[in-house]
Amino acid sequence: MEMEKSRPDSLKRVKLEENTKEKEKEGEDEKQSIVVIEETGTEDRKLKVARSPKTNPVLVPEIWEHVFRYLSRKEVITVINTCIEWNQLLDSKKTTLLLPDVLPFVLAYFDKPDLLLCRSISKTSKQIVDQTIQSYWISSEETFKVRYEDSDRFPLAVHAVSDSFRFTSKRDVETFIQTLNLQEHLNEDQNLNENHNNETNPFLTRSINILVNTPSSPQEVLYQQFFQSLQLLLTTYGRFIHRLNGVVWDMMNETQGITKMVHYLHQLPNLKILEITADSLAGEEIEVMGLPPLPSLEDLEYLDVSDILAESVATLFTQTYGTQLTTLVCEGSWLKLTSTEELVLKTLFPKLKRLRLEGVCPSTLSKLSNVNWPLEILHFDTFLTEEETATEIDKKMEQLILNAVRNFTQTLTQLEINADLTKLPQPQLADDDNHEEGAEAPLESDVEVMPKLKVLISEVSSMGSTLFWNFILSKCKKIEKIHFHTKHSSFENPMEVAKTAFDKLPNLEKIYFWPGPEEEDGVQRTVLTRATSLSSTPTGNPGVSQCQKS
Amino acid sequence: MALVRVISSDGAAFLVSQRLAKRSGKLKTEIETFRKSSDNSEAQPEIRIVTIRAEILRLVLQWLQQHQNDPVLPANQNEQDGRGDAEMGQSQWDRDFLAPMDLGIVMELILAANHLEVKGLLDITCKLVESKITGRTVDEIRTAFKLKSDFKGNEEEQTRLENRWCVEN
Repeated sequence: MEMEKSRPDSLKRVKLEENTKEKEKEGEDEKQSIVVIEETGTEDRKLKVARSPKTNPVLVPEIWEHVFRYLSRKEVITVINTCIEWNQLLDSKKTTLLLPDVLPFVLAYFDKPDLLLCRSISKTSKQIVDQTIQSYWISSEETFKVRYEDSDRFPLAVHAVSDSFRFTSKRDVETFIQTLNLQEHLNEDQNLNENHNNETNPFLTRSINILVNTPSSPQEVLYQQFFQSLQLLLTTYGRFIHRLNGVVWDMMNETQGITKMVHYLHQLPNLKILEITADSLAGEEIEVMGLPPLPSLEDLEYLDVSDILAESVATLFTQTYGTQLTTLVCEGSWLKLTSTEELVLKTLFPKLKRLRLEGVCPSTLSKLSNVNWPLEILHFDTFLTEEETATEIDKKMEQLILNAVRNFTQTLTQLEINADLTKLPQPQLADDDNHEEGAEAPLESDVEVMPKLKVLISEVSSMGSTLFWNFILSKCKKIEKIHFHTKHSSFENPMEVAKTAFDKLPNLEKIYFWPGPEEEDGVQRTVLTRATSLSSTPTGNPGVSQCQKS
Repeated sequence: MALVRVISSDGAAFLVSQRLAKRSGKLKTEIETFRKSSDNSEAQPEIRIVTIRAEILRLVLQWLQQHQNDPVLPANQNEQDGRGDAEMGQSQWDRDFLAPMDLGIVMELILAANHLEVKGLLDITCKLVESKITGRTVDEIRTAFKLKSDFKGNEEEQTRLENRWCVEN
């Protein structure tokens, strides 16, 4: 019966729409802008929309409602969009039915309390929140990204939730077990635990942060108790953990700290992301032969050893897991110092897509120029000077950077160089104080265009470097976006250079200028957009839009 | 003026300028694909959107028309390179636009804005739904979204304990 009643409404609605359309059409000429114009079609088509022939009039609404109960979420959305009658039939249930599909988008706007609140609404919403958080937090791609937008609430919210799973003492572990009522599931008999399959994951982000500290007595006993309690927790629940951030802080015996960390790793068979800090014994070597063997972590794909000062430990981890890694964050000095043979290093990372190097020195770049890694994203985070060879090698620094980049010509999609290249000793090419002269300087003739490089990120002051400018114009022909940091910039006229870039680089869509995080509120981040991106004319000057910090 | 015919899931057709349509990432891609595959450069593209009904499609196009001179925002909040664009502010027109809509329509609009890659519309609709959750009690939210608790056994209590851990630590 309701279906029959709904028909006149539908007809009315369509007529109303038609009237509106006519009015819109009348106003169109006046506006000279285009426009949602009209609902077109023959009378037959309009009639079809109104009567929704896909709805079988024989079945009463109650029957349809019964049929709809057996549909999947995706099918329900199809039903909602099929015709007005079915849409209206599901109207009272629409929010319930659509929430699972809508919630993942809305979560991006939530902070930590909102995320937790959503987990309490229903089992379905809890599952969606947990899945969304976990797929973000244990993604190698997301973990590798450097974020400059503090307006993104979701990453900050997930970070805050992740911080809750920090274990630095026996008391932390005990409170966790007590709060979540896990005591009855913990069993010191590991064999019993292996047969106990019905416990649920207590780690919302599927990640934990742990501190390994082994001070001398009398506190040693306390830390040994912490080790045992965390071991017990991980024996039972370690398989749920996919990301570990471990800090080894041991002024007396770092080997002992690393050994404990390895024991923890043995309880985490499904680890995907591993970040280790071990920098308390600066520069001191650790005898890796004395360490227990590292476990086989088949899912591990992200390794951050940038804060392990002992080269031998960093080498142990990279050599053990190198062939399976897609993402690596390490010290430039590790590449310089590693005892890994050059031939082995060359093919050590056959799957490596993302590499961030912190503290890059000339020797790092020389080694990087000779490896066979399929890098897609290369990030030089900071640069160091090698004292012993400064005079000779630093003169070639820019060239070394470009040589290293050239090694990944066929695969690189994004290049980030966090340095003001004008402050590095420059080859004698041209007056690099004038960007226009730089723009007109002869290009490198032997440079092959990088076919996949779409994104370039650097300090804006690097635009004053002739060599860098030539590199952009000659090698980065396919580039679509350039991001410039401006926090330490003394470069005065980036707009002119930006116009030249739009002119010389046909695929360039946007240039971003990012103020540093220390800038006061109200400073604008500027985005230059090619004006032709929305118009039909083939060429044109760049348009400029400025977005306020939110 | 170049036009494109956009057809909803229930068969209603909208004739839209290509300039306006290209403010939707999805429509822009479809138009460009049509251009590449068509021998006739004057031919009018026809795009069927099988997951969006006429009432919702009309609202999307209406919003696009109002915002046709805004800077284009990317479809995803964070782009591949990890840097997103700032969110657009909500205008009085946007508030008036959303005011008469019930929650079900707003949720349909979110799915449509996501499908058509209209970032600004996705922003304002998501924020509206967020406002129906933030600062409310669980019962108020269940009422607003017509939800029933589907927790079983001690699942709800366990969730409360997990949340408590996150709040207190």
